[in-house]
Amino acid sequence: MQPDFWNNPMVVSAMRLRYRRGSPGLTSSLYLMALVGLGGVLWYYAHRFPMPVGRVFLIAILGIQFALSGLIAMSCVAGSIIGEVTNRTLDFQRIVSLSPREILMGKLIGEPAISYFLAISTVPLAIFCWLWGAAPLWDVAWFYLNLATFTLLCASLGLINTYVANPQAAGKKSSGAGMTIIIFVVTIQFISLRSGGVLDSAWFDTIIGLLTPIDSLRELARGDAWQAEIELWGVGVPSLLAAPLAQMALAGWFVATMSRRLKNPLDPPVSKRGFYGALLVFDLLSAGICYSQGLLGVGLEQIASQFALAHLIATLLLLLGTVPNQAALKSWVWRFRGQQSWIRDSCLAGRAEVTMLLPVACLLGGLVLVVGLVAPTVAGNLPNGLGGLARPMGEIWLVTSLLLLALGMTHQMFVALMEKGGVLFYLLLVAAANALPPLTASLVENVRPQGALLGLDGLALSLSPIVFFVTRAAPSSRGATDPSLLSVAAVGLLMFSFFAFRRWLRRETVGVSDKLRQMGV
Amino acid sequence: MIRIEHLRMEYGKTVALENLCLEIDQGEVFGLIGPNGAGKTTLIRILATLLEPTYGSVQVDGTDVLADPLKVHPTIGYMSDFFSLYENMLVWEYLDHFARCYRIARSRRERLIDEALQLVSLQIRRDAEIQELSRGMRQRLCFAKSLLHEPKVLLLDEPASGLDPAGRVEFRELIKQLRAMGRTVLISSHILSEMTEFCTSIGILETGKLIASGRVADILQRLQPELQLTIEVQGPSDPLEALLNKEPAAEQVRLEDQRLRCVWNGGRETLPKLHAALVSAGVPVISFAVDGDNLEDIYMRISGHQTS
Repeated sequence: MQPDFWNNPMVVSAMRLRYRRGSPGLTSSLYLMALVGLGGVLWYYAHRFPMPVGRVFLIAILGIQFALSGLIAMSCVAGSIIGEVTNRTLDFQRIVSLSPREILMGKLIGEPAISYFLAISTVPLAIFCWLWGAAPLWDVAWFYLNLATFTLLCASLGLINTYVANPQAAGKKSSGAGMTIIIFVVTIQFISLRSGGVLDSAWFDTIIGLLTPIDSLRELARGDAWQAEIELWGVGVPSLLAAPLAQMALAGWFVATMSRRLKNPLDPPVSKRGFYGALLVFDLLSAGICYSQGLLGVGLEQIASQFALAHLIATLLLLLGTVPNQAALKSWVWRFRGQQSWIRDSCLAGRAEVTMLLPVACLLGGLVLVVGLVAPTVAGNLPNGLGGLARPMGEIWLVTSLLLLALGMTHQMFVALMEKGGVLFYLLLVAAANALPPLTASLVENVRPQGALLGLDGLALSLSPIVFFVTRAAPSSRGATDPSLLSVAAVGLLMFSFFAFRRWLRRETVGVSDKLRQMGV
Repeated sequence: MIRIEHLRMEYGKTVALENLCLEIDQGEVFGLIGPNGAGKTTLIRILATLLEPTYGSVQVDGTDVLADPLKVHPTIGYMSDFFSLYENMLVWEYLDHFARCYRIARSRRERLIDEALQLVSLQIRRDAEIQELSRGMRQRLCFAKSLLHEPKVLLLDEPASGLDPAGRVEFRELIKQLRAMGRTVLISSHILSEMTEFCTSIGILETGKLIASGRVADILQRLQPELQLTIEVQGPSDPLEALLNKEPAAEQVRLEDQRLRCVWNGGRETLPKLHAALVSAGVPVISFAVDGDNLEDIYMRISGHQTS
């Protein structure tokens, strides 16, 4: 990859078009004038603020700039990619001498050009705020570094798109319905977890601290931005330091992922190696957060449940980008099957099934749970060892693994059997599996009280994966649900999806062998 | 230069290309003929590394297209049947953008852009915005973009479809020029009469299968072993008819419009002998013509006009 981004053709062309359409100098000047006006208003009402007005002004400038830069970067990059795909100009880009990574880096840097000009135009005001005693110069410089990495992260989010033009939808803009459904389902799940108290605020503080400047700005308002910290294994890391690293790493991961997509749309966006790497990093972060919770007095069973749930959610989310679709699986059957051992293919080959990847994900999570969470907690807080905790811990991990295997295999089965809409069916199944049992239990309790007396509500509740984790991570008077029914259901789903998928794969393999024989190969 | 083996392409249950094997030598202008849906565009897109085939191997200039597409990209120039350009760019900016994309050094960029514009007669529109160009001009600009990095192989999918008659003549000359420069060209077109003028070889594709391929003359001969011979003589045609009836290769000898026609089974190579025999026998020959089918007739004859 060429390091000189400014000679990247995508950057050069984007800048040329921006300069021709309108002067960025004029836009930046108007923006600067608006900010100066805001500064005047703040100065007028200075007596109403509990902190120096210079600091209020700096926080306002940074807050506005972070929001503007992020939005502009994401919308410009997404708009450019969608335009290239729907107008079918991307085909010519895909066959030039630039690598897909160079093309995407060019988009990432060139398209949000106006956000750089706006950010640069605020620098004199930020220096003025420093002179006004708002914050040390060092802090201001770190905030601007954060601004740059945050803009890149938002721009890289704009890259997440389909890179294949739909012949039926030529000229039409993508509705993004698929992505909206995924975001909706994930958000609903997170909100329910948050409101249920399953994922403690430490999780959200960490996510916000690593991905946004909100925590640092809040602490700046209190006097010292470096007080915004992320607690990992009991060690506080300033958010101002950790955020640029996390944001760059995530942006790099998105670029790598979408480069694979651009290079060959048949390859799943996330390679199997990328899946293991991302899961390991996420599990380590989770273990660090959970351990810190343990130091605050939260029980080991609770934090292990939180870790298991986070691992399950992360694995299922990563699988959305890793599980090969029907076309990719067929391509593997035609072109790659049998060249390496099935185990190696299933563990590492991008287009091969994920049958072996799932147990590896379970093992990886189990390993991090033991090494990163249980062992240090036992050594530090439980000098008498695990004692009576071994059984519930084993139970949690067994159910987590069974759920992971069952849901992962079901995902694979749906996308293999259905040319289109497999992921949607799978997501609906996951949502239904989580939501229907509590709804049923509620109905039994309220409409048929005699059913509740027979324990039918408890039975229904115990079928919900989310309730299994909720009752363990945030203990209530009701007590933890019985895991047996959920385990049996998971095993049943696993067996069904495994055999249905294998049947499909066998049929495909036989069909391909026949065709190859006919072709004389 | 291009080598294709056991190529198969499936779109769901549709087989777009089936067990296609083909070799195109350097310097050839290969015309791909077939009805809509025969698989021409699919084949060209596979060669351009834009589509991955279901099965088979494809090599361009010795490089495996599937294994190392990035290495193949500088070797190929591609022009699709339906394409869009960056509407807000100027003509020279568009070419400059792709020149940079092909890593052409700054010192050569401007010269190559001027040469490409001159080649497609667009130099007077150098500073025009692309959205102001007519369809034919866009077609030429896209063609200039395909030639810019001096590729060894040109993949042209219906390149002349938007051109006016003068543009088509220019385009034909351009292809001949490229052939003279030793470039390999794979071109698909529906205008078969034009294809015979500049193609050295052709391939007839139907329902994803290559039903005939090779040099134009060879295909004509292979698909048309019988020749329709028309001979006009001065005066009565009886002596000529008698002579022809004696020839075992001549069949269905008949008089039509004062000309003698027959089916000649002896092949083209025996015709000079027949001509000499007629002259030495004192037959006053005015004209001696072979009414061979042209590419269009041959295609219409052998094609079932089926799509995949």
